Parts: sequence; C-alpha cells; structure tokens
Amino acid sequence: MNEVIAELHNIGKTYHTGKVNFEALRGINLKIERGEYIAILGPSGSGKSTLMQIIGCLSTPTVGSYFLAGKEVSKLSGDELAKIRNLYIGFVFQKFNLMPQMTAVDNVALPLVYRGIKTEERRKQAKDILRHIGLGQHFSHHANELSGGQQQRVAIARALVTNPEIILADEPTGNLDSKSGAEIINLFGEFNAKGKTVIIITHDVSMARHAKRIIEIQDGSISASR
Amino acid sequence: MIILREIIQELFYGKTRTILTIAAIAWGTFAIAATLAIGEGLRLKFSETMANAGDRLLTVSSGVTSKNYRGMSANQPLKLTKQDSMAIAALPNVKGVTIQYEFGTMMHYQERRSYGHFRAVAPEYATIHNIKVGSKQRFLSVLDLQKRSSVVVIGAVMADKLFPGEDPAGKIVHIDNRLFTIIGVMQKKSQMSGGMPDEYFNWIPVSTYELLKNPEKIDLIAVAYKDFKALLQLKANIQKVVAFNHGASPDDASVVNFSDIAEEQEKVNKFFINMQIFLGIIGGLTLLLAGVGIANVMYAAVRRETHQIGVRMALGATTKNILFRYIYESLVATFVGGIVGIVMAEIFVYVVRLIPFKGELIRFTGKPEPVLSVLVLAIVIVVLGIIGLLAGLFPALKAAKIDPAEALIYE
Repeated sequence: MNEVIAELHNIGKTYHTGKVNFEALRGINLKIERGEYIAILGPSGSGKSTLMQIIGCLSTPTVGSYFLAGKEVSKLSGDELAKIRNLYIGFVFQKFNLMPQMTAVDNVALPLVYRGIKTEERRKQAKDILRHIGLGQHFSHHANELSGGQQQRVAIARALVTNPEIILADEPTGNLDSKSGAEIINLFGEFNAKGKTVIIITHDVSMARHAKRIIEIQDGSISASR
Repeated sequence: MIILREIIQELFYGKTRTILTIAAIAWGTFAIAATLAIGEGLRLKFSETMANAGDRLLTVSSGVTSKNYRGMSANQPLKLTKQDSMAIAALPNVKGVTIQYEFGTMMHYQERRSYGHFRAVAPEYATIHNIKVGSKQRFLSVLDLQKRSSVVVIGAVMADKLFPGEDPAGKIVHIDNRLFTIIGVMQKKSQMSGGMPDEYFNWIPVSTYELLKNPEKIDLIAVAYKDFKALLQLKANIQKVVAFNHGASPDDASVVNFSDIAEEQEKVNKFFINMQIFLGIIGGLTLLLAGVGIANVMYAAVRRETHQIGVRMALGATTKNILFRYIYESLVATFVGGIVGIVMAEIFVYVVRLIPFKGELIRFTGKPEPVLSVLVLAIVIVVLGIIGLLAGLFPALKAAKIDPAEALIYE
C-alpha cells in the first residue's frame, strides 16, 4: 500500500447566507494515496466543487480535519494556505484561467514567482515544461493567440511547473472539443503513469471512467466509491 | 517577487485607463511644480532686490513727543542733532553712524536744467546702499569729506534728463548757484524697498552741505549695526538717548522713527514663503484629485480582476504579494505621470525664461524667472510618493481581502 497523501476526517462545510444555513458538505471521510487517479463525480449542486476547494486548500472546512502531506491544514490562515497550495497543489480549471496579458512562458512561470525563484531560472523551468508538453513553438504567444486545447495545455504546464503532490483538475475538458479533450485526458494518464496523484472533478461519467477510482458525491456526502 | 516588467505589461494592458490616469498625475505634477517654481523664482528675485537696498541698516529720523515730561510738552517736533548722532555712535552693537541731509533744488548744465532730489551723505553711504558708479568714476571719498569738495554723484534719472546721449562724468554743473563737478553716475540696480529708488537721487558730501547751509537739523541718522538679534535693544537704546538729549520722556516711543531694511526684507520673504505654501497647497490638491482618480481606477481594476486575483491566490500568491502588486502598480503609474509632469514643468520654466518681459511692475525689480529648485523637486517627489502609496493602498487592501474560493467562481 502506498503512502497516504491526503486524508479527510469527518469534513463538513456550512455556508451562512443571511439567516439561511446551507450545508454543502457533511461527514466526508476520504483517504487519497500517492499516485492515485481519482475522479470525483457528481451533478452540479452536489457539493463536489466545495470538496475540491477543501482538498485544494482554497477554503477550510467548518468541522472536521484535513491532513495534507502529513500536516493538519484545516485550521491554517489564508497566507499559510497559499504557501501550502503553492507547494503541494497544481490546479487545472475548466476555463483555463490564464493571465491574458502574459505570454505562455510567463503564465507557466507564475507559480514560481510566488515561490521566490529568480526570473531566469523560472523562465527556464517554464520553457522545459512547455517543450515537454508539445508547446515549444508557442513560448511568447498570449492566451488569445492559442486554441482552447493549447490554452489548457499551458494551464497544465503551469500546474506541473512546481512539481506538486496533487494535480487537481476541475472539469478540465468542459470547454474543449472532444479531440482536444481526449488529448488532455491522455496527458493526465501520462502523469499518473509517472506516479503523480491526479484528482479530477467532473459531472461527466465518460470523463470519470478514465480514473482508477470514482467517488460519487450527492447532497454533500459520498454516495458511492468504486 | 513581482517584477517591474510584469507591472508595466499590466499597466499597458488596460491602456485607456492607464493613459488617462497618468495624464491626470502629469497635470497635477505640472501644476504643483510650475506654481512652486514661479513662487520660488519671485521669492529669490525679491530677496535679491531687497538685499540691493542695503542690509543691516537702521535709519533713524526725528519724531514728535507724545507726552508731557518735565519742561517738555506733548506734540513737540524733535530735531535730530550732531550730538544725537555721536551719542548713538557710542552705543553697543553699532558699527558706524552716518548722518544725512536731504534737500531738493535745481541742477543746471549749460541751457538745460532739472529739479533734483539731493542727499548730503558720507562716503560709507555707497557701501551701505549698494551704490555703484561707472568705470573710471567714483563715489564720494573721505578726502571729499575732509576738503568739503564741490563734487556730486548723480543718479540715473538726472543723467537721463541733463545729459541725454552724453557722458556726464567730469562735467561742471550748477547746484543752487554753486559749481559742482560730476565725479560719478550711479549704475542702475534692482530695488524694491526703502521708499523712492536710489536712481532718483544725487549725492554731495555731507561736510560740503554743512559748510554751505549750516543746517541745524539732521534729516536722517543711518546706523549700521552688527547683530540683527539685538536690534530691538538697539532701537530702545537709541530712543532713550535721543529722548534724554532733548529732554523728552525716556519712555516716549514716538521721539524717533525707525526704518529697518532687514526687517522689511524679512516681511517680504515671509510673504513669499506663505504665497508658495498657498500655491503648493493648490498644486497639492490638484495632485490629490489625480490621486483619487488613480485610486478609482485601481478599485475598478481590482473589481475587474477579482477572478484573476483568485487564480493568483490559487497558485500561491499571499496577501503580501497581492498588496504589493497593486501598490507598485499605483506607484509606477504615479511616477510615470510625475516624470512627465516634471519634464513639462522644466519645459515651461525654459520657455518662460525665453519670453521678454516689459512693464512698469518689474521696472525696478528686473525680470523674475521661475526656478525649479532641488527643494521644489524634492517636495513634488515626496508628495507624489505619498499620493501614489495612498492611491494604491486602499484598492490593494481590498484586493488582498479577496477569498480565492469565491473569486474563482466569480466571473
């Protein structure tokens, strides 16, 4: 059995909007091992996005505890969480979320800025990853000069550049045609084969099928795991 | 950390807002720098002009008693005498004393004649009042004083009237039906104080005047003193000495009148410093408005970039990263605008210096020129820094408070 990289203990998240309390997650227990390929599957409003935010350290749970790489992270401050995200998590978003004013290289190098790495070094690392991912010709292109598939690959390069423990992808093919989508799925398979932990959040069953473990979420709790 | 290149990319990505903002800052900077430069130029010019009237000089003229004292009744005009001047010369803090008579009479040269104001003075007068004569000419000398020579130094006004297009030096003129030789013509100078400008006067040796007229009353005692700080004490002493000599009350402040050039200069200087503060505040307010503009633009940017900020935070940006990023952006915009404004002000100063000024107002002062001094620039840069910092700080604080989870959902 592999080392546990992330462990969620009885996690609950409640949102307070005015006088109404909305329980987005309740009683989530989940162990993720290093090198797993997991799909978190659920319809919109099921709480899967909230779960992604907690796994990705973008927000903290109302109750329960969360251990990431052996560290209790559920009570950390915003800035401590930012450092944890930078160290352990590589995000891939549905809408790519590239900085439109920056070139591909600068976009990929951005997480390294927050790690305090010098300009030359981070540009070199960014170029290496882009080359590896097949975008060697597009270093100085801006987002609007790239196709959707290319943009998502730049975003994946940005997620990989910090060499994170976990790649956390939120509907990564949702804005792509089927051919580009398939390419992205192949990339995730490739990383997982190299031992990277990949977590994909999706509502799409066919997408989820690529993962080795599927966790279904309904009404804020895990309804099935296979 | 966040690099300048990225900030500049960022700034020029939203071109219109940036250019408008920078223009506003440039205009504000120009306004403050130009007004301060004008103020500084005027102040410098006037203090130079004041210095031309002679400094460290107290003039004493006779006054009127204001109260009954022993045998002396109120409202008696006093007449200053030689005895007064000798007593004043013996007081502490006094460097030297000269006496002076004033009179007006006709001066004739051949068929031409003109009425002139005359001062019968000692040779020191030239130094004290900064009077300069042409080359190969001279002012009254100690020898003139001893010999009671019939020599005269004429002012520019008299020179223009009696000797149009001629050199007056060496010419013989009639003053009050006596022959005088012109030994010098006063060169024009800038002067703003001390009543009628010196160029309207003509000067003869005080001893010559005494010989001719045997006057019983001295019009003016000029006291050169050493220490400006002890001036009040000196004035009190003079007043007491004069009162004593004339049998008036020693407490009677109106027995003498004082006119003090250094004090006047101080007042004028203060006026100009106040004027500069006023102009500076106006310029500062203009800049402040531009700063509010920058803050607005930055707020709008933060609102529009909420999603981007969320992405940056997801990638590991801390509060500090976000905070500095917007403060830097504001400072860069402010300083780019500031540099443009300062260059505009430099050009303005250069152009104003090229314009020839003419007019009655500046006839005695010479032409005032705006001066963009180091002090002015330092003030402008400090004000720009503060405004840039504040304009960036509040939007930046707002940006740093963004919750990444919410911002990522926000479109």
